[in-house]
Amino acid sequence: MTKVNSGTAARWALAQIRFGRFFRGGGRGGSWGLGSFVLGSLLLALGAVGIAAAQPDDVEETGSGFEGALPVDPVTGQPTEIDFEITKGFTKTSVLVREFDYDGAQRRLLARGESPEQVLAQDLEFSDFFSVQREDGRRGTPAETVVYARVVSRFGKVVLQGQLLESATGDVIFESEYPLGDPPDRWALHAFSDDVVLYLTGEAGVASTRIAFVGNATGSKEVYLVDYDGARLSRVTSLGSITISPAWSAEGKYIACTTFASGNPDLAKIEVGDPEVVAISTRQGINSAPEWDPAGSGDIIAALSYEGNTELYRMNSNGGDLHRLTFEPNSIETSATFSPSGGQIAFVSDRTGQTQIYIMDADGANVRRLTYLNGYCDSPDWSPKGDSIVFVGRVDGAFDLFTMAADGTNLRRLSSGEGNHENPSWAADGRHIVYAKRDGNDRRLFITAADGSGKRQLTWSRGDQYNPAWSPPLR
Amino acid sequence: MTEHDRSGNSVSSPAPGEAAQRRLPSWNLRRMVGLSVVLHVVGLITATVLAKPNFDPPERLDVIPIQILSELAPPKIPERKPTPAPPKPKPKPEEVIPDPLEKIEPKPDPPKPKPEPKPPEPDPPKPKPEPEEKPPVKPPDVKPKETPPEPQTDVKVGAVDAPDLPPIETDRPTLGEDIQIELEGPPFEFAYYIRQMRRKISSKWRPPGADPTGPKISALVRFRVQPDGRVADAEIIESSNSFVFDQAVLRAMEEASPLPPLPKKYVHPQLGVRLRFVLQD
Repeated sequence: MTKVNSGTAARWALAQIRFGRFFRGGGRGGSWGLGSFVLGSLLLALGAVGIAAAQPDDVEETGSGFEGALPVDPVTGQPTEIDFEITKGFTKTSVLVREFDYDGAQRRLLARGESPEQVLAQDLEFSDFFSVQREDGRRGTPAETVVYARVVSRFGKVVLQGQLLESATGDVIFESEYPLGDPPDRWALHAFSDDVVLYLTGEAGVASTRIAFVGNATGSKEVYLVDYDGARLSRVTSLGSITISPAWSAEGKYIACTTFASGNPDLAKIEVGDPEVVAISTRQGINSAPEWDPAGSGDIIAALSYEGNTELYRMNSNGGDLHRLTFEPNSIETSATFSPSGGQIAFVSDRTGQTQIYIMDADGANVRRLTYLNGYCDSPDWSPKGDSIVFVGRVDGAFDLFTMAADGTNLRRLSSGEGNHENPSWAADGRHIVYAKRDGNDRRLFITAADGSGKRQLTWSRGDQYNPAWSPPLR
Repeated sequence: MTEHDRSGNSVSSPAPGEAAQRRLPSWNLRRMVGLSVVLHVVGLITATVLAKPNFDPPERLDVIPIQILSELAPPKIPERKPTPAPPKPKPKPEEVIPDPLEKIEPKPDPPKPKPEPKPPEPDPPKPKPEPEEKPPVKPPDVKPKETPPEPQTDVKVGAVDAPDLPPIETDRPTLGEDIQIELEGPPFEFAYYIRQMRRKISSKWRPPGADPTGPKISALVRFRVQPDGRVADAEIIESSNSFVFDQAVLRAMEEASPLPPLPKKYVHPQLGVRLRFVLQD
């Protein structure tokens, strides 16, 4: 049983590779592990990892090692099991975005003057999994993987044939086709980027997502949409009223909202791409703060007051099959957010006299208080990954972003001294958050990484943009 | 040549002085040509001499990936040049594209004093794109084709691959974790997969605090990776004798799922993995 050992060996091997001295120095001299590691790296680099197999003399028998033979597929000879060991830490995968080839198709820029390669590189960079290199003639460390595409014109339709390649071996990790259109459509590049993210990390990327929000540029408050990267801003509603609290259905097909279009705060939904606004709940009093079950039941939780006090209710997406979840006659319950499994609900209540965040089972049982920040906590949003709830807390007179684990522990502050923050909403990757922040006289949308780093502004339109809701992946 | 001849002919008849005068230019020419040749040679030599030490290492660095790449991807170097050019024609088309559909005001927006390139313009194509965009050809799995995927006949000595790339090492805390890899039997040839799998699990691995004076502690976990990357049947098959450590291992596995989808060319319906978590001082 062969065992390569030690982090120093790894670092040393890295240095060897970096300086191009593959064959020089120490392979045999030191521990066998060192030599073998370097050999392994070399072979890998040559795309001949296979040869690395056995050097019986170099074997180090350890009682704690991997025991027993590993099975091989008898037909292909491919192993059906493998062994390796693990260490702690995270490094980004290096990706080189090569210039695309244009095969019978003319190279076109996108609407904002960006090249397709540029948009793809931005998407990959945003995912936070990669260190992205562009093919610009500069020599850097060779990337581990290469993203490449050929643009072909086929029967008058322009198609992007994307490939992800392993640099060392040239193996194709995946390849797929995306209708690119002419002029090129960003959406094809977003889809390609998301596939790269998937094949290298197992995670769904968020390049194919949009953000719904409320804007008041027309003088009334309407729901708008913008791509996650700030492109393609468009208005969804034209109700000439107050329409707020957009919320995405689990599959991203519908947006629910609260609208005063008929004089009363009612719940309505819009099928994305269809101008029609369909009422969900027009019960007397407040019908507000809708939230879809992300687990796919199609149900909505909202805060209704038709029985007198504002409580949380669960209903189907047509407003029927109503179930009351909270029973606190002297307080307001609102702003519900589901756990990803749909099994639990976090919400806001002022039952203690302070506005704080609570959690309960999806049927309303088992209520516990989650936040104890002095003063005020609201706008919870449960990460689609389940491990974190982001919310707004008032500390020292300012509204800041916080995250906490779903049991209220592990409280982290994401902003401080940067003004007032509102309505945070998670991206599907659980790694990014969009929120509104006052910027001068107006509110704008911003995006931050889940740890509060990398804040960047998303919208720049006239008037306010606020109340954002990040869509699920829309592919 | 012709000039030579001409001057040669003329030498015989006219006066020597004239000839000398005539010859003068061609001598100069010769000298200049000679000088230029010498300079070129010298230049070339110095260039090669000087350049060698500098460029040698990087060249080697790039050779490996580039050579291989060029095999499977179409001619890249020629392409690279032409492509960057086109961007010219449209230097700044982004600014104001009032959307015909949106009579809304966001467009005339004199977007704040911010220099940012984000124009808040509603884009022309309405919100349609979502549904229509299904990237059609996803993974054309060619899996079952060549093998009757025979369920685990643990007949032979299997393989562990060690296509391990060091980079993972670089910025991890130096608290005693170690990389240990087995090399054995026929290789699992998808180096990238091991690397990315390891990356993901590493990022979720939060070992309980190590006892600086304690001995090496490790646990062996076994699991299966489904084609879509989901981790199934994770179990400790060799305990660390520390409940907390074992739990941390299982938790890391749970959080790391889904791993990247199995390589398409890997024909077996699932991949069994044995993985050792090590904490060492």
